[in-house]
Amino acid sequence: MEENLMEENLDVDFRKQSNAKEIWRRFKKNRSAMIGLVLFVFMFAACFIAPLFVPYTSVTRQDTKNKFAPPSVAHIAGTDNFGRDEMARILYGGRMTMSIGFIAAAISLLVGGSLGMMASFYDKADNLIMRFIDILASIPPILMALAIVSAMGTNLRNVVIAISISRMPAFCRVVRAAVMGIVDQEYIEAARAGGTGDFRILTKHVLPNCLGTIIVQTTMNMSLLMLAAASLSFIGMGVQPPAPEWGSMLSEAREYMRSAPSLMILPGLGIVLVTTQLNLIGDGLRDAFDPRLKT
Amino acid sequence: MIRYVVKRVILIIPILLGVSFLVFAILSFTPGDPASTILGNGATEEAIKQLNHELGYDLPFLQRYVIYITDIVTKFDFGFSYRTRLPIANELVSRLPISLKLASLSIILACLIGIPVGIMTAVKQYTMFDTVPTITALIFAAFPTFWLGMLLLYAFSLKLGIFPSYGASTWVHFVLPVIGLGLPEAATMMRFTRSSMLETVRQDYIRTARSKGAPERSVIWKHALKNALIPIVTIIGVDFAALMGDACATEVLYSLPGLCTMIINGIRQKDVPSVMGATLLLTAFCSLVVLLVDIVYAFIDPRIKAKYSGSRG
Repeated sequence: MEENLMEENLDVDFRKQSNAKEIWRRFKKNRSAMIGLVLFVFMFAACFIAPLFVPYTSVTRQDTKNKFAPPSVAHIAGTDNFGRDEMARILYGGRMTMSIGFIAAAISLLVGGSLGMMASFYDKADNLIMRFIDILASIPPILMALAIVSAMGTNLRNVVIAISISRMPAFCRVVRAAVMGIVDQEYIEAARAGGTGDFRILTKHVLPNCLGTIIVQTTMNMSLLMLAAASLSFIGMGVQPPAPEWGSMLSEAREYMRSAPSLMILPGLGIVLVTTQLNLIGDGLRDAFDPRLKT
Repeated sequence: MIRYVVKRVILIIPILLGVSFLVFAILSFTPGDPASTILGNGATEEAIKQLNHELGYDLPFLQRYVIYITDIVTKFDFGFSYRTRLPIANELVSRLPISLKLASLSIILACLIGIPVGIMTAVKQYTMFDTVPTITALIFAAFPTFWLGMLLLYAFSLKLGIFPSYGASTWVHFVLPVIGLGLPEAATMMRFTRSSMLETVRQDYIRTARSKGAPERSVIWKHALKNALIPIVTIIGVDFAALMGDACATEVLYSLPGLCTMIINGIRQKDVPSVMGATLLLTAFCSLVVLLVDIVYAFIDPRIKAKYSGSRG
């Protein structure tokens, strides 16, 4: 019995490792995906290591004598409408925008994914869950987020909750479809015949087999969630000033479009670059996980 | 076929009810009560209680929901604004055309650019006509609509002065918002058309068409395109619905008096009936668009047609 178990573990470990290596090998060959990954790691690192070099005080410290200053040694990207250092705000703003995207994607995946898994695994729950998801999906994500923010108030926590809920249907449907394809397989039937419990079947047999779909979907949705967070902040219903966030920085820049048009360049560029990078990585991962889908 | 259409139309009713219940439930968590919002800080407790009673706010939650929905369905009555005391329905009717115009013009622009370019890139795969548009589309698909809108506003309105920067009185006012909203959508549409077309070209029936000697032109335009367009129709519907919501930032940026600005103003002024009415109307329209596209889909996809016309159509 014990020997049997060990053998099974060995087998699993071996397969897992070679599979991950194979995927990474295929991913590496994809030039555009690698460009996306390298650039993303660079921007991510710049934003998240920023506190080591730039104290948070330079994000909020106002210097009214030095408004709209052009780039200089002291302020690499110049200063904004309050004389605050634009570069520090871009870095901290990127941290904020990206964090919201990641956390919201994680929540959305956890809740939506579990619902999808339950729907595909238990026939009785399927109808109930999917009709609920149909209703949720009929409300455009931004409107859903606006309704939630309107009822609960605009603060960071509510913004994250709001945009997570608004993208839940997408996760739920994708995970459900992926699990549906696996639940009918013979090895699941075998596991069930062998007396394996539902939870173990889900975590040990089903989940590893739809991991690819989940990872790809999460990467793709992360960029959408970041855009949603930025849009919400832009219309004044998301992250509130003075906290820096790329969307709310654009909203402030809009008021000074006439006198200081350069303020709207960096935050927008940040959003476009990170979104493009995430999309490239997502495309690359999709092709690496399933070469048959390659276009 | 009629059976399919009727079935789909009937199925939309529970969805709309569910949506309205969900929105009603979420917004009922809004802190504060209507009377305090209407009367302001100076009001006495009795006056507040009295007004809340008149508004039916002291009724149980479910009863309030049923009354609200019955009023909308039977009298097209969305209640009245806490701020202006005017009926919400009038404001909705005056604002809806602007939101519809913005979303539909944008989706038309997106289709006009996205579909032909997508077909071109798929037909000329791995040539310059593929790589250049594909990379451009990759970047444009990542553009937040409000940033593109700001850049357009700066260039064409502030610097060149060709287009107005706010308002919605003439068609000229819609040029910049439609481009700002439509271009990122065109990029998405192009990417989708390209992959759908590439997928179709690899099917067996295309190989059959080629091997029986059909000219390349007819293979692409007759055999491949007709099949590739079917999933694109669905995407048009889904994206049109999404655009109605995404238009929020654009409406704010260009101060267009559409339904999204009504929602945002409503949130700022704690005017719950405005938020609720506009959200419900927009969502209902999105559902109707998706329904319409599904029906169109059934007419152009012979597989669905065959399934339903076999037994009494």
